[in-house]
Amino acid sequence: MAPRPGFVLEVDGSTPPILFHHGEGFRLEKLPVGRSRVIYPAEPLPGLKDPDTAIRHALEHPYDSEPLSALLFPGMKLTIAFDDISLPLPPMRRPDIRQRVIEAVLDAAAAAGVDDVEIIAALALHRRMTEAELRHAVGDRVYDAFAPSGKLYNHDAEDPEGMVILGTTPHGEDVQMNRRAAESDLLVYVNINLVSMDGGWKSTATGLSGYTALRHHHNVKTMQASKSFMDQHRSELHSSNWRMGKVLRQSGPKIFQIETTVNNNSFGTSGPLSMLQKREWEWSTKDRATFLGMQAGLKRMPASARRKVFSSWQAPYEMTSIQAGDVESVHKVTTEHVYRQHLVPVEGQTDILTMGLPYICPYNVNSIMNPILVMCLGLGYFFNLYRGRPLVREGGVLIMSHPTPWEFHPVHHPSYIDFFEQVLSETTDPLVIEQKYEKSFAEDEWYRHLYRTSYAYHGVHPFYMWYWGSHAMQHLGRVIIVGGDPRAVRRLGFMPASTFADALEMASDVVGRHPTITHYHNPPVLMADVT
Amino acid sequence: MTPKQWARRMSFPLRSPSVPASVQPKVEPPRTGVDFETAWARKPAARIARRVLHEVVVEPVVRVVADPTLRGLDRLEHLDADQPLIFVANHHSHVDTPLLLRRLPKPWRTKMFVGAAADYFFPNRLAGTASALALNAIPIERTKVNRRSAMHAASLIDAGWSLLIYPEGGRSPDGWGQEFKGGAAYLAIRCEVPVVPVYVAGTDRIMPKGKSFPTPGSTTLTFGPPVHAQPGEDARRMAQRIEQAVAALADEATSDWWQARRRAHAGTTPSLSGPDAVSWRRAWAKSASRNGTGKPTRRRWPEL
Amino acid sequence: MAVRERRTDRPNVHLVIAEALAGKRLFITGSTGFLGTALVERLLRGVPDAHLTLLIRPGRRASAAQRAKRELFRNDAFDRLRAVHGTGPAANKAFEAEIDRRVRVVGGDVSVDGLGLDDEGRAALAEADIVIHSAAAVSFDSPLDGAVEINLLGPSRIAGVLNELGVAPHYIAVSTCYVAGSRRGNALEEPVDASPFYVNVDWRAEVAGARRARADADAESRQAERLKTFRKQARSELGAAGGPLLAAKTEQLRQRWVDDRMVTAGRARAAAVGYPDAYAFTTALAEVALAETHGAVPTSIVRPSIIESALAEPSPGWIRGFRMAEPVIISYARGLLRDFPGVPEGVVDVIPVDLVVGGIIAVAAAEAANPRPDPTVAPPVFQVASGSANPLRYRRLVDLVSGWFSEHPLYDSLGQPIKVPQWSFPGRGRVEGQLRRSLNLVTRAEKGLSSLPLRGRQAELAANLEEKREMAERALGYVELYGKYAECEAIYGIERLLALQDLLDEHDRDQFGFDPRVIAWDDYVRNIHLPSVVRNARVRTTPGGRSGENRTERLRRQVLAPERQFAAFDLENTLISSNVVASYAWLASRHLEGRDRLRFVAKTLAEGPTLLRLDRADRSDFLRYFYRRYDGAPVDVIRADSAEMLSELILSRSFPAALRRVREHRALGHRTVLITGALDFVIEPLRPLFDDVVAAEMTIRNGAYTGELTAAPPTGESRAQALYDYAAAHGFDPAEGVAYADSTSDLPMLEAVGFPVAVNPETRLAALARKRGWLVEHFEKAPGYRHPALPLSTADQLAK
Repeated sequence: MAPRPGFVLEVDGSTPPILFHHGEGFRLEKLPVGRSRVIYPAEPLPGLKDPDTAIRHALEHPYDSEPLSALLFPGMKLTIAFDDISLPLPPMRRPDIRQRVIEAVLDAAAAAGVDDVEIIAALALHRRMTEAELRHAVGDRVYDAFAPSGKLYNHDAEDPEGMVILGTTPHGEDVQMNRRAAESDLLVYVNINLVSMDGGWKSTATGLSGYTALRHHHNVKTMQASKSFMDQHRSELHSSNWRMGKVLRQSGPKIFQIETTVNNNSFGTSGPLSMLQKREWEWSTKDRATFLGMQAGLKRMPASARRKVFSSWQAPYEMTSIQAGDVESVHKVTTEHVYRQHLVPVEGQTDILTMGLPYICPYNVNSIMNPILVMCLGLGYFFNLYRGRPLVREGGVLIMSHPTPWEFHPVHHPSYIDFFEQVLSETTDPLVIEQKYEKSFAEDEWYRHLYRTSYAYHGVHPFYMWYWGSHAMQHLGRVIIVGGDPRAVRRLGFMPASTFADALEMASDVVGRHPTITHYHNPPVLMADVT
Repeated sequence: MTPKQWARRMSFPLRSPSVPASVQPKVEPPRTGVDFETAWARKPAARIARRVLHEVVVEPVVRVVADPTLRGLDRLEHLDADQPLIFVANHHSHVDTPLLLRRLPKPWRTKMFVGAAADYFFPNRLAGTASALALNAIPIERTKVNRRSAMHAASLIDAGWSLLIYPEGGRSPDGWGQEFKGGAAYLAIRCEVPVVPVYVAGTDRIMPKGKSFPTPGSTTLTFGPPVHAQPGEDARRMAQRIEQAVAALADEATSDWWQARRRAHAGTTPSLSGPDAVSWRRAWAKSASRNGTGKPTRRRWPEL
Repeated sequence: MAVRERRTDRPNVHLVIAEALAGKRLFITGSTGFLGTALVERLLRGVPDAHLTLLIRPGRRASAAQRAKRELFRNDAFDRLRAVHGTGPAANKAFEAEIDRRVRVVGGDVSVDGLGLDDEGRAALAEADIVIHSAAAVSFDSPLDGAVEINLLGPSRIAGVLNELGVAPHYIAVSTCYVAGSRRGNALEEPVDASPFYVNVDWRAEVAGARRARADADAESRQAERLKTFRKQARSELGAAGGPLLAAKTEQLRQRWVDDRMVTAGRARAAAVGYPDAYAFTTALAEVALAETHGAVPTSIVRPSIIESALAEPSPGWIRGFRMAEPVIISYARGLLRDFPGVPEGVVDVIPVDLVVGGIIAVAAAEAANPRPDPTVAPPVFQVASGSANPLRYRRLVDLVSGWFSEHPLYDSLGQPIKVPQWSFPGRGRVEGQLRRSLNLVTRAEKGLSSLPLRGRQAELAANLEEKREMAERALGYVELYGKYAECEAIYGIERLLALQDLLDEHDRDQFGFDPRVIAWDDYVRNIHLPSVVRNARVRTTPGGRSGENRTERLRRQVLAPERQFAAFDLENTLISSNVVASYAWLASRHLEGRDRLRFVAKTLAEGPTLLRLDRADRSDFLRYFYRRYDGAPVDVIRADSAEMLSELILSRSFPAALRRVREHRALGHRTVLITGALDFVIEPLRPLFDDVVAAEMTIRNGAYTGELTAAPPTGESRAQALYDYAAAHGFDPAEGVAYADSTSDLPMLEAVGFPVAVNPETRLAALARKRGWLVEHFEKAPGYRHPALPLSTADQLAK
């Protein structure tokens, strides 16, 4: 049966309660009749039947570039970079797409007699990946072959000798890249496009870069000018990356970009979480039974046990397309494939946008989702998953559902803890935060030491999380979090509500007594094409 | 009642009948060796019995004796579950078959038959029945290609049964591999099914040829990417490719995947049959490539 | 009790005090006391041309003159005198000039034979016309020998010196009504031994007995098993705080034990011969001794009852120091005394200080105007008390006090008004039993808690218990003392005093009045005394929360002040909640699998209790014993593993607020140093957090650690030494240093710096920190992250 496209459901009397993700848990909420609608994602597209053959084909028939085999010659310096654990979400089942692609590329390199090969995890300012995470991404065979000899490692944006400035764009933006990658004869970038923001020059110009370059586009002005950064043509972030791309093209290494897209089969069509993939009125009795069992079980578990259960879930994603060759032509094709899976046409904006935030975001894989990440996931990612105009009108209300616990991971997010205590306690205005605090956090020796030797996100990363939501903060009249820890929610500058009904009540003094409501039934991922 | 009285009381049909002298007894063709009838072993009753035997007896023995670790199973992820496969492995000792029958991937393991040497496994009715029941084996002529057993195997594969076969025909006498025969390749081409190479490491130390009892050790099974028959390729050419695949797997298991790929592409993969030299040099080379099962060296600190 | 009619054995001579005392030289002792200050002030203001000489005991660091300037003339009693010269610095200068002109200060000590006077002092005494002796050890728990030296021998020493000098000034000794002892009936203005109830006791034997008692107690305190109990008590109080500190504490406890023995001896002896406490007992014997030894010096004795705040002079409600009744009133107002013994209809004999001063001055003036013919006659006694003329019933006092505090309640720390308890006047025995039982309960609970390895918030609980114990002890002390004073129900006659008053003219009677009948008790207690008591006691009388910074914020601001020079940090339980055992377990289990790992865990768990006991005994011995396990550990493997341990063990158990604090110090320019007993290769990854690190180092032999340390690990006193060396090396002044530590074993380091901070303190340290007013910080681990029970290394440790 062909996968059904995404659609907008007008809520009527007989519509069942709608599923809201609530961190490591779920809620079922009844939406008011007559003035609410729910946007459902498309069903997962079928994956490629034989991925390995498709990969080999893509390598040999690239877009606007010679085949990979022609680019490889004995004695060359080859560097392979791949996306870190922030993609795909939730992490996919083994074998990971990166493993398949990297093995295919290495096989071609072996055939061409290449000896000097290094494989780098393109972290930018994210945390280093642990051995277990690297094995999951590139597979045991590649790990055992390259890691012991130091040929497979994490990118280090703060290593003075390891980074090099390649030039500046006409706008005066420095372009910085990993020295090994910059001095290689060929840089192969292996990318997974989970959402339309990923890939293109954003991977190569950001993934292997450092703070000196990132601060030119990871700032409040760029973020607020990106209407939204998911739509490449109207994203200031992407235009800055594209300018950097031009500089890379002139003075950077030869780049062979490999981009893959996945379907949105996050919870599997059969198995314990398959009901999250279906529409509420299509739940079978078995689905309902498992859902109730899960709700009861989760309630009794301590938070860390819930986290362990959810973080052990691996999504049965399948590769829906793979294209390789020149960065920009490849990205055009990739974006089409992403839109084919994600885009849902929606007419008109609404007063209230509601969303249930799931347990996972790009920055808490195998970790804890602290309040700052909740804000970034809601106002940064989900709010910006639109093309054309935001789903909620200017000055409207955003209602998010998440436990927002006052909890931090001491090893992964040390600078978040200090940001939450020292900065957010003073102000939540992104511009003030940027001028007053960013420099001291970004150049703090201790954070740098943790970023380079421990598994910590860079000192400046919490600031980027806050800038990520600055467009939404500017646009929205009020943000309410349902079921969150009141102290933490207030510290974020939002309003805590204990139930969904209270939240609607609180929203009424901003958007009137009978506002129109749209529920964003995500995940599985979707993107609203608002006309 | 003494045994003699007991025996006399037991008359026909409890005892086998005596043959009247005037009649020429009908000479039944001896049903042993290649002609041994094994169809009954694939009936549901026999399969269930074999399943119980495997779960209750073979599994614990394999765990204790062989302590296997598996590598490369992800290479079979995308294969179609209800398409039969031909598993090809190097053969060092009798431990290989139970080990493989317990560790080959799930969907195919439950519907698997083994190609066993007719002269060794089916010399008489008793041994034949045991082999058919325990291993779901079918007799295969080792010395020359026997059309009938090949046709029989092909019909089974077409019926959905997967085949486990050792192309070397027999266990290696001194730990090194022998030359691969064409049987597996012929069946792969005829039934259009992929061949999955498997390299078994460590069983030669547990119970090499000539030793009758196993000493527990640890083994590693490395699965390779499936080998598909090229259009219009003859059996001999494919058999060579299968042997190279298993050799590459051996190289990967002993050194690491990247060096193995480079040697495979450069055609310098060390062959399975080892250096063709005097026996002590072969034994010496054999012990040199001892690792591949990856156990850490003795630990000095902390003393416990 | 009606006043008996006045005996007039003197002609009705008209007396003007100012004239009588004009040009006279007065020699006054005890001028820094409550009564002394009021007396000096009244003389300076009331008798313009009187010349005063003050005998003051020089302090340890201040000379007698400095003590006079600082403790006496800066008191608010002299505000009226200062106001005479106007306001501002010029007025002060003029005031000081007048003081220098009219007052001379000599150093001396009444508890030393010959008063410790130098020649100039003896000359001043010789010239004196009038000598007023008001110095005394009045606290109710003064040791027996102290009371004897000051109260008993003091007056006769002065008489002795006067006889030596051959002069005969008028010598007025201030005594107390309670020399009458614990009895009922009348106490007339007659010598102590004249009263029928006097228990004849030879005062010289008492002096000798007191001195021998001190020597005996001192000797006994030096016996071996007694000293052992002091050491045990010091260890229980300070824990493993290292040799020197424990020794100092032991000596302090020994001295306190001797003093306690002397106090109980004093109390017992006084009770045995029928006096409420040692002060009354020794003062009574002083009078007997003075009668014998005053020789040709004309002597008078003035006996005030319980002296309270001034009625009018120098200002209504003026008071100095907290002595007898005030602490009880404040405890009652804070709701701490549930009940108090006392007989409702009993008399509370209270007399304002200016009436006593007036009495003394009148006695001096009367003698000056009309000197007695025979100086050797028995010293006349003047009692200044309100019991007979204007008695204040105990029930009326309690009603007045509870009424006033209902209208002007005190407020607790939460800004809630405190409801004062209703007293039911039970017998002394019942209240004492109640208090003693609650005291035992609290003491046992506190001892139990302090043995548990509590820390941080729970330790706070134990600290509160200690506070409760101290309050219970104080309440018990008040009950015992005032219980005894409640038994002194004698009515003190004041005929001679009133007779004296008849000689005064209208002006003097108003200026130097001492007639107790003038006191309107309602007005005095409600409008004069209680407001002044509350004003002087640091209690909160407004509902509002503490305005401005509370204590912690103020201390924190001092700790983080730019002028501090360096900050020293302990590691375990101060920056991270892990210890040497955890880091060893992690490093050792790094490469263990399966059976080896299980055996290792079993072995370490089995050793747990012994390790904990050894650690509580002595920290550095424990470390040396424990570090021997690193013998044979390969250096390169350990160095690689410790980089990984930073994430799995150290950071996951760190206190983010503590790490922030280190970096705040660094941002302020303070030099930060980590001084820990942990091994250097374990804390190597933390090095970038500090400017310097002082840690235990281990010797290496052919690529492996030997398990032996290069020097004593920096814990206990060697940590304090390390801190001193560090400060000296960088030219820092330890008084300008900050130190963060968590257990009493770090006490030497905490005491070495000017600004110690107790972090998540153990019970004992929490109590010490609270008592010494140190800053206490509670740093917690990052909320939400739950690390596994056993500190063993696993690959996916961080996947939690």
